[in-house]
Amino acid sequence: MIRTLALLVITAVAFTYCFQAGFVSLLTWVWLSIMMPQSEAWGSFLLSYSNMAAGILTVIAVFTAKDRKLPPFNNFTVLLFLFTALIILSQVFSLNRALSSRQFSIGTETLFITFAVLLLANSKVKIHTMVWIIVLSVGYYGVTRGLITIATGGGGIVTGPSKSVLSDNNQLAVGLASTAPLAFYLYRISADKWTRMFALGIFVLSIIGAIGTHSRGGLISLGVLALGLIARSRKRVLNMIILVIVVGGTLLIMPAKWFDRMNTISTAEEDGSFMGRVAAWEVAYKLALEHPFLGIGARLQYKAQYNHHVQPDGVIAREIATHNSYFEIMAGNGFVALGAFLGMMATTFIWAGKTMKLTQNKPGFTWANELASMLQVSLLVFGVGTFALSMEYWTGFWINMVLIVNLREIVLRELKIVPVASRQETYA
Amino acid sequence: MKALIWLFFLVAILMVMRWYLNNRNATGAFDSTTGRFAMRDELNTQINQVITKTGRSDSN
Repeated sequence: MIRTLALLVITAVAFTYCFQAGFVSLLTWVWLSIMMPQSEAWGSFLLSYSNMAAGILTVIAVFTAKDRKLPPFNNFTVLLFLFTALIILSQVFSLNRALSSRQFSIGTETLFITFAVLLLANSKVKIHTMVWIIVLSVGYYGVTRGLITIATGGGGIVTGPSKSVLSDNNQLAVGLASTAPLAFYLYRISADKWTRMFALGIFVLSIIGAIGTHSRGGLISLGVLALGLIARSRKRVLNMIILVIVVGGTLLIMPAKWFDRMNTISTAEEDGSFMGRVAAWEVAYKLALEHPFLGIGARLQYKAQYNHHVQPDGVIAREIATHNSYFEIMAGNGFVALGAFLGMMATTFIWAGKTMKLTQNKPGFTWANELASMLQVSLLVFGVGTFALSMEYWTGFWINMVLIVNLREIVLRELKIVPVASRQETYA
Repeated sequence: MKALIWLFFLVAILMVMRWYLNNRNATGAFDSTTGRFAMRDELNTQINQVITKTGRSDSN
């Protein structure tokens, strides 16, 4: 009851801020969507509608905020509009609109947040604030799950908030691993000592929390995170020492069953869980071949009535979860949507690298250089981690991509690299 | 313990929103010499005073 009251008060204060600046509505919506603080409070009718209220205020802000900017016409925005159009068309022509509507509504909400970030997060203070909101929203689960892992010696499998994209232990692991680079950015770029320590604490406990999920995909994501941090950092030795201490220290307390589970990564072909996923990917691919342009409708490939004819002979037709973001889009929305999705990932990955080059050793651009590198690492961690998970509409990932787009725009603007025929040519 | 951490994070989120409202039109949030962001209001105030005294101003 006290939690509910506290959350009501804090949400009410946040809403009063929303009326002072439209961008805060977006911050509130992102916070409520990712952290879902209401999942740890009880019985409030008002709280269940706070997310929707923040969304409505963001819609108003998108159309009325004086400081909004129209999205730049570039590869990313073209692909984003194309992807959104295909998602809508896919739902219109879905084999079963009622069954695919839930995932469609999750997707459209995430895409709307993405468009809102694209329009509103257009200054360095706004981008920095957005990074803080994401880190705090996910970091809460990193800190609490990290502490639980330490307290229990890794005995229990930690999971995320119920009814969210991070509810599953595997999804939480990838969410934590892909947000950790942003916490590291805040540690590197904050001027205040205590703020730096707080950000470092979130980073360290998020890694421990990800290990505590007992997720094999999470461990692979952490491996990518470690490689990315070492490759993309100025102080490589220091980063290596921090990672060795954090990971090594955590592994010392982890139980034998954790090591037994992780050892099965090297014998994936003999693992029923992994091979089940491979079979699900095959089913998704076959269904995509039958409906290459718009797919069969989001998540319909799970249902036996739509996938029984492509399931292996001799197997009783059953529901199959795809467990892979790329195959989810391929089967549910078609090959073109998958191409747009991969195109957006590749574009932002390349732009992050180019932004790093543009801002290297430039006074006043340390923040942009650090942020571009950590957003790139985050993208890579998610790209690998989501290969065994269905997280295509994880809000944190979409915001990361858009932050790279807006960061690049700010850097080009401030460095006075004015677009001529094409902005891409200015890099050459 | 978990409830306290939960509350701490919620208050931290409010502080970040407040920080944004205080700094959205000022360069005080960002020290271009070090390239770092100052999160504490006192520090922001100090930097803002320096900016005011030296007559510098620009927007974010």
